[in-house]
Amino acid sequence: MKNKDQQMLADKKQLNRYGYAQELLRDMGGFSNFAISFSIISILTGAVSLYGHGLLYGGSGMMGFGWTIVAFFVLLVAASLSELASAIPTAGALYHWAAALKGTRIGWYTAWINLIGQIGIVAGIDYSVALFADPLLASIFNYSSTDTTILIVFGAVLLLHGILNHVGIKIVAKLNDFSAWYHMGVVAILVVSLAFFTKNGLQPIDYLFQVGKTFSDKPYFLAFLIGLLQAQWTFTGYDASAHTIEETVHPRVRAPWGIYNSVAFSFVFGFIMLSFVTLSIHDAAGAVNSDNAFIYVISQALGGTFGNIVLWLVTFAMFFCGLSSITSFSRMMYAFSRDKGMPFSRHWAEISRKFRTPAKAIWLAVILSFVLALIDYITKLINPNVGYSTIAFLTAVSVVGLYVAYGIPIFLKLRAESKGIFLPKHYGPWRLGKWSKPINIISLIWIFFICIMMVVPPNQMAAYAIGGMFVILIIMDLGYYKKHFKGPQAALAKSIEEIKKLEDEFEHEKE
Amino acid sequence: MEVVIGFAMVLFTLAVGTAIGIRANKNVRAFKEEEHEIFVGREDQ
Repeated sequence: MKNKDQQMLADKKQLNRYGYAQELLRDMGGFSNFAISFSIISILTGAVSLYGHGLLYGGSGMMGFGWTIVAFFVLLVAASLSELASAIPTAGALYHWAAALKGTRIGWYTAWINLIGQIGIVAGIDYSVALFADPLLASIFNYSSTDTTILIVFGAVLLLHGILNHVGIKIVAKLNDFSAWYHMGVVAILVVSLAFFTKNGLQPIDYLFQVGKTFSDKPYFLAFLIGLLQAQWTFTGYDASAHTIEETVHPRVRAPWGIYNSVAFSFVFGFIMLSFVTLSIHDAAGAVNSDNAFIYVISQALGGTFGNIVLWLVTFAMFFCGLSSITSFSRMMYAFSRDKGMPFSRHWAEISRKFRTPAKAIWLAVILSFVLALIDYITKLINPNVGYSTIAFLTAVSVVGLYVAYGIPIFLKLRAESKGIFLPKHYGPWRLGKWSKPINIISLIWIFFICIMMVVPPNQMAAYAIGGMFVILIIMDLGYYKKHFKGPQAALAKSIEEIKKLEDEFEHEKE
Repeated sequence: MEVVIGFAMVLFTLAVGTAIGIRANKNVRAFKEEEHEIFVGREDQ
């Protein structure tokens, strides 16, 4: 058994073997690594902000069946990714795995698809914060909540997240740890409040699993599948445990557990929360027709003041979720830029000597996320009758981007195994043995299926956005990166002396 | 009937999740560093 210093030295040596210096501050323990993914999954963000979407399409049965079905398959995806994180423990994660398993070009595409998903997830989460915070602020400061005020609040939240991430991983890690407990605490408050203080009592348990009734104009089966976006978007972003792997002590074991446990615990807590919220509904039609179904249900069940307190608690949970998602996004960009995969890579790979965070990458994450929501805002100004919601657009972009990026390395690992390139000796400590292959295959089938379902009308705008971005990627690839991107393998050309020198510079800066 | 199916699905998901966790934990404990080889990287300096 190694002590913390010995373990950190071993971790640093492990990273050096991939040609990378230990630039980021390695300070996260197992709980912090779990907490960052648990906070990004954030059952109080995804399941809550898309509660109306789920209810509209799948009715109350969406909360019982939809949540469970999605969680089952996502557990398999998470287990597949955990194996890869344990085998190749670098911050680039998905893209580094893909590049290692097949080649630099597929790695480059994986990175960009992952980036598109990350932009969508950060924008989606912080937009959710704004969607909840703005009406609450409007009632305090006596103004009308509009798309413009929501956009302003969204910008302010992003700005605050940028600042907190800039000033250091220590404060972010502490807030992440707090966030994990906070999420569990708020779920407990919500459940107890709804169980004992709801005005009209709870519905019978059958209501949670009632299928066949949709509030949309689609046939029920199709509507149910569209409604899965609620749960599927909630279960995204758990690759954060892999993106912060270079900041985690004993990463080959703790990061995979972080990925897997964050999904497992989110399933359990999410199911309990959704059950009580759904069983407290007495006017489902009113909820789906309201501006925000969750606020409507809570206000109806708990009354104005108590309901408002609960909604503020939920909004803060979303705030923590956004904070963690920018951490994850910036680490991914840092790792990709370190391998010179982006325009102006030198800047995004730069680590602040003072705070030991990828400061410029953090601010790029903030700007890109704002721009995505701004484009949507302008689109709606030009054409107000677009027929989809901003939140559904942002979340669909993130689900498709992230899950395609999850699927590529899983597929490539299966391929490498079948060709005898990736062997049992290459697995890290966290592995599934004989279960690996069937779990990987089921994961891929689910990813394929869910990516199709997330972009069927009325969410086709997400497909256009992703398609458009993909065309830009092809142009970038053929125009420049095909010849110039050397991938993570290029780092291996760096001598161990160069790596040590770089690490010494950071150590001296600290002193 | 839907309630029975629903809870059976919840229990099944929990059972599968736990089984994967147990299996992974067993493998973590049985892991031998000397039998491991880095995939695309340098061997120990």
